[in-house]
Amino acid sequence: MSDIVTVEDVPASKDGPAKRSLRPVLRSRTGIIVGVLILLALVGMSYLVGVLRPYSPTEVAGDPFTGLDGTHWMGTDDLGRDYFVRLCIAGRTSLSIAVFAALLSLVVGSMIGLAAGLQGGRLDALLMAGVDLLLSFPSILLALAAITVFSPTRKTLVIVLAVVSIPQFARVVRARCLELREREFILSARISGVRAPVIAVKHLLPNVFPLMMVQLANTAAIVILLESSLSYLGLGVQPPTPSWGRMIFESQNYMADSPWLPLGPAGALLLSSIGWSLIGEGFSVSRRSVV
Amino acid sequence: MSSATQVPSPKVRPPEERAARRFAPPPLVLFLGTRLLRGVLVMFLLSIIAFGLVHMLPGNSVDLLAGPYSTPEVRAQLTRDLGLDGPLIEQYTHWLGNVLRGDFGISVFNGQPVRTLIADRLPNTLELAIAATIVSIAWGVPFGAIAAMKRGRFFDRVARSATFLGLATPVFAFGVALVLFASMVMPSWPTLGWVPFTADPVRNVQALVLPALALGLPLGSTICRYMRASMLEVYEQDYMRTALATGSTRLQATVRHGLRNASGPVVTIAGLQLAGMVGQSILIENVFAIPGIGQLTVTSILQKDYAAAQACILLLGGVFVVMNLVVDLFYPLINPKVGGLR
Repeated sequence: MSDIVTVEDVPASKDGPAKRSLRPVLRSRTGIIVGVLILLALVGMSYLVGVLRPYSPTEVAGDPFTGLDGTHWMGTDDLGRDYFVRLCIAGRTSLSIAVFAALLSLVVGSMIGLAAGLQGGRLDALLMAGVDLLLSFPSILLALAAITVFSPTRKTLVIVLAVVSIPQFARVVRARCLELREREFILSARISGVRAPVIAVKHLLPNVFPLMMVQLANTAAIVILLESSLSYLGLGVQPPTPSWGRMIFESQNYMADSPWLPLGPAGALLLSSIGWSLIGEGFSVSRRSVV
Repeated sequence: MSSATQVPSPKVRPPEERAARRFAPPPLVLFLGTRLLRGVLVMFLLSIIAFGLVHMLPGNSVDLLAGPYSTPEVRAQLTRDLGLDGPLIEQYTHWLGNVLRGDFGISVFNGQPVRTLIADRLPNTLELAIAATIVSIAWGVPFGAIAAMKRGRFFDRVARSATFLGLATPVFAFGVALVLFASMVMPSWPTLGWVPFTADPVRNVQALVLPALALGLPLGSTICRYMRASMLEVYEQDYMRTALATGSTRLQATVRHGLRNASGPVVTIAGLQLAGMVGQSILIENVFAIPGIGQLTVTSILQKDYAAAQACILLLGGVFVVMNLVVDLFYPLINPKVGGLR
């Protein structure tokens, strides 16, 4: 019986490079920790700002453009609203939209990817044709077109940004499933007559999960940039709700005198996108991809 | 379990399949054909999206043009003139026919033909796109190549950090930061405001520098990463080892053999980047107040000028589709394996 080899016993090196290619590999632990810390700090700031500062983001808290001082940490904007509070509250908008959009695209994209990758054949061809079509349009243009039709509320933004990021998700998950489909444990499950949805949930999902998490981080990084781009153009969450992209636009005219007004939200935006990217890059999806 | 690999059994093809194979087009033609077909399909869908956009919106062009106090006769006349009576399919073909003839309708906002609006703005957008392309390649390719040559050394680390930042930076925020930086370092430099090339070539080029940098530097970081990865792969090839063994220095081998061989995938990526620029230029044109297609897109959407918005979406989407198609069509030339595989 010694020559019976279970799946777990097969050393990973027996897989060809193609089989190994989509496995997430831990590349930089410090990168991930730093990324998580940055995001935690941003989230903490935006949700705990009420404890730190006594102002509301929409109230007129003082004279316009007070400059940096103890009462208004980042001064006030052109209407005399406390800029630090607005910056933090805007973080709630930008961060939550990014997370929810990424999660929604994870759910839908993974379902498409799982179905296409497991089932193969005609379903796969059909789903991937749809995904390819969606990829054929520039995402910001799709978002612009959608926002023209549906008024930009938090909910529509989440949906639009999720739809735009679904194709990448579906592709990554499908590629991994195609590769897993040929493995012994999936084959044996199929031969034992386990139904496809059960295989997908019980056997494929746990194996695709790490990859999905990596893709989630990458998607969040992209979505946060896209959301801020839309709000910079005035097509994001509408005032008086503050958002980082809009704050950059609004303070652009005053940046000669108070450069911190556009630099504050720009820095916050950059930090959150760096945070997500660090997590995504901390795991490299492919051993060979240096990119 | 002595041999895990399956030995493919010799397949006997049924006669009809053999006959079908005899008339199958060569793989390259099949590859190009499917890509071309897909491009046409996407353009068709894009036209439906652009057309449907107007019909899904509350209120239509008649309401906007005629105003709230118009008589039913005027409205009926306008509806006929705009081709808005009749079934949707008819309206669509009518609209598409006009578009194919280059007639995008009249802008509701200022009464000019949309074609004139676009023709006025297109040169500015093209100028920006070309300048940004030059910037992105000028920094991406050499820095990527040098980073690969000095793998793991200081230069490599700096280049990789720079590309990481470049990918994480929102383009518009980078543009704003550049304006701020330039106005502090060189107060005399014209940071905002566009001067057409025909009016004053020198001022035009001056006004172009910052937007081109803002657009080109982040885009170049992707090119830089691919160039580095591609060069690293080339360094592992036998011909590079041979070149080094026969006395070439690393620099000589890189210049003579490496760059050429590494550039294949980079050309593809550069092409896709150019397509991606369509979206980014919308932002940069708005940051730097450049009267281009991107700015027209946003203003027409904000002003609910649907004819112009339709035309812009169609045009920008079309450019994206065509760029992707061109990359696809060039790909077999760079990598002959692809045409054969498909």
